Formats: sequence, structure tokens, C-alpha cells
Amino acid sequence: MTGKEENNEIRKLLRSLPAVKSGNDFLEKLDRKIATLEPERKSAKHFLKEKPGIFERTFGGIKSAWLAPALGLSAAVLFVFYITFLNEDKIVNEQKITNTKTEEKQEPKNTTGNTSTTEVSPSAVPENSEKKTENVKPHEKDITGNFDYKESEKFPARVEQNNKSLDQDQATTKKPKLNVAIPEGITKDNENKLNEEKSDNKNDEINNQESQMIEESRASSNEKKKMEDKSMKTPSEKMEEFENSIQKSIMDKLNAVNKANLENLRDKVNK
Amino acid sequence: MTGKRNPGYDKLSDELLIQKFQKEDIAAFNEIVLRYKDRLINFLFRYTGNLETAEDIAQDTFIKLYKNKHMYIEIAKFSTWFYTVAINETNTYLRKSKKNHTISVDSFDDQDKPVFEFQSNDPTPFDKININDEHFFVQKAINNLDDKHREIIILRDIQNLEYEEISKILDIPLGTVRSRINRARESLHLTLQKIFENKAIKR
Repeated sequence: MTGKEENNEIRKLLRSLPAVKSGNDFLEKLDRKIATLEPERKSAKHFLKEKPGIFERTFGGIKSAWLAPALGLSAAVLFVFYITFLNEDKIVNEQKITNTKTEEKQEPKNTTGNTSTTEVSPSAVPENSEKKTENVKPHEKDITGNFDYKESEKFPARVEQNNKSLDQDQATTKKPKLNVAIPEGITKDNENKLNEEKSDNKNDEINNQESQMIEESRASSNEKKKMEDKSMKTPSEKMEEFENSIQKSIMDKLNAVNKANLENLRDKVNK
Repeated sequence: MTGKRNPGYDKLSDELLIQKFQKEDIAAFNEIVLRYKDRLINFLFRYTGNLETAEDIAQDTFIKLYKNKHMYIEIAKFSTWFYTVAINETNTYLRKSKKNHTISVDSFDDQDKPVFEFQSNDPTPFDKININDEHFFVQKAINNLDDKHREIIILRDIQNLEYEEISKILDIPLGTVRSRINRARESLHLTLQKIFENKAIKR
């Protein structure tokens, strides 16, 4: 026999072998094996669900729990930024208000001994001012520069009331005087009286000027305040500028008032 | 898995079935099992010489398919990929069980002792499968072959696979497949000759 024939015989033999089939319980066994696989997978998933990570435990059901600390930090930074930069002006204004309030509470007690027009209580101002103008003589008023302008700033209501009373005084005093014509050959007594009245009128005018100047200074200071609030300067600088401006304005007006007083005094002396 | 065929699935190709199974269609897996279980067990029985071992390996192979269904990419035929999986699974199984004993042809000289020792001693697979003496000795001769020749001759002459498919399964060139098949047949012929001569002498 040749090799090919031998091979063909072997092939026939091999092909004649009966086909072996699987047992009846093959599929059942396979089912059982697969069934044991699936619970393992499920249990693995269950295990994973039961034991969450540290972030999941701390931050609950957030999907990307690792973002929570970063979010917290950023929120804290924003809060600090808001407090330090954005709320700075408000805090300064509040401080100013509290300072002024405390000063208002303290200073009236200290200055109760001094007898000046500004020391009168606001409620009693309208009545007292009229009485004072009636009782106290004009030359007795403090016109030598002792007028406290700082206090006048702190008590604008009083100043306004004083101004009103002064205006009333002027109305009562000026109108008749303007109408009265001084006749020739007037006696010395009458002249002295007239001079006194004139000096009183001058004093009233000075007081009016003072009050107007105070008001102007207050208005200018308010405007400056507003301008400063609008500008982006630091609170300490703003405070310094504000104080300087007030001081300057007050000094200028004091000088002007002093000059006017001096001129009045010179006139008196000359007369 | 019920073992019953899903209507319409029997007409689908292997590749379509595995695609469906990759989309979690268990009926497709069922169809693959029903289509391949007998072919696979026949191959594994001829390869191992033991029906129980063959069934165990076949089940392991199907489980591997169940677990790693996404490993199949539609480059090769499904049958090629599946036979490769089965052969790898068989080799690992036999390596683990350490039952992969090669049988010496010299053992035929001992007249009183059994000629072949199968991997499973009791009961023999031939008791379960009603085969005649000729088939019994052919199987013994196949088991006597070395692994390379055994697997290639089973794939070609029992499973009736094409040379090209065998070359893909075993990952060897086509020429090597042809020459190896020829050598396997020659060695099988020699073994059978010895068996039958021995049997004739006995008688």
C-alpha cells in the first residue's frame, strides 16, 4: 500500500468514529455553573455599594464627591474677599457713625458750663433764643471768636434755629431803623443810642454771616464727602482728607469772621 | 437557559448570534451552546479520551465565552475563535489536573497489563459510548499520538475543518498544517498496525 492509500484508510476509519454527544445533564450543569457566576458578580456590586469611599461617606450622595472640599474652599475665599474688599466702605461708614454718636453723647455733658448760643438744648431753642435776644444785649454776645464751629457742625439743628431767631431779630430791629431818618441837631444821648443800635445791627449781621458760612462749610464738606465716597481711596486717606478739608474751610471762615469783627471793633474805637 | 431553541435564531449565523449575545441577548448564547455543545464535546472527547473531562472542559469553555463575550472581534470566524478558546482551555485544564499522561507504544508489549491507561479509570468512556472494538482501538491510537498530531488530526479528519481554518486555530502556516496532518496520519497508521498485530498475536 502506498502512503496515500494508507492515509485514505485512516481518514475513513476516523470518519467512521461515532459522534460523541453531550450528556443529558450537560445543560443543567452549565446552568448551575453560570448561576453561581452571576451571584458572585451581584454580590461584588453589592459590596461596592455598601462600602462607599471617604468622600461619599462625608459628603453623602454627591456624584463627584471629591469636588466638595474644593467648592467649600472657593466659597470661603469668596466670603473673605467680600468682607475685606466689597464691604470695607460700609464698615468705615458705620465706624464713622458710631464715632459721631459717641462724641455727640460725650461733648454736650462736657460743655454744659460754657454759656454760648450753641449750648442750648434743641427743644428749647426757639423759645430761649427769642428770650435771649430780648433779654441779653447784643454787645454781651460772644463775638470775639469764641464761637465753637465744630459744635455748630455737630448740631446743625441748633444752628438753623439760631439762624431763624437771628433773622427774626433782624426783622424786628432793622425794619424800623431803616425807616427812621436821623434828624439834624440830634442830642448826644440820642447819637449814642443810635450808635449802640447800629453796633447791635452789625453784630447781628456778623452772626448771620457766621451761620451762613457754617452752612456753606457744611454743604461743601457734604459734597466733598460724597465725592470721596465715590472715589476709590482707602478709608484712612478719605478720613484724613475729609478732616483736612473741614479744618481748612473752618479756618478760612474764622479768619473772615475775625477780620469782620476787627473791622467792627476799629469802627467802634474810631467812633 | 432552558435548552430550548429560540424561534428564528437557528437560521442566524454564528457571528450574528455572538453579536446578539454581546448585546446581552441570552437566547443567542443558548443557541450557540445548542449549536456547538455536541461538536465541542466530540472534539474534546477525542482529544482527551475521557467523556467527563470533555464535558467539564466544554462547560468551562462555554463559561469562558459567557464571561468574555466581548473578547470576540469579527475578524475571524466564530468557530475558529471558539475552537482556539476550547484548545487553550483544554491545555490549561490538563496542565492543572496533571492527568495529561502520554502513553508509550512500548506498553503494547506487556500482554497481561492493559494496553492504554486512560485519564479517568472508572468507568471508561467506552462503556458509556457503545462503540465496537475497532473504534475502541482507533481511539486508543489517537490518544497515543503526541499533542500536536492529535489535535491537528482530530480537527481535520473528525471535525472536518478546512486547512485554512486549522492554520488559524493553531496559528501555524498552511504548509505546516499539511505536513503535520500527514505525519499524524502516518504515526496513527503505525500505531494501529502495532495494535492489530498485537491483537492478532494474542488471538
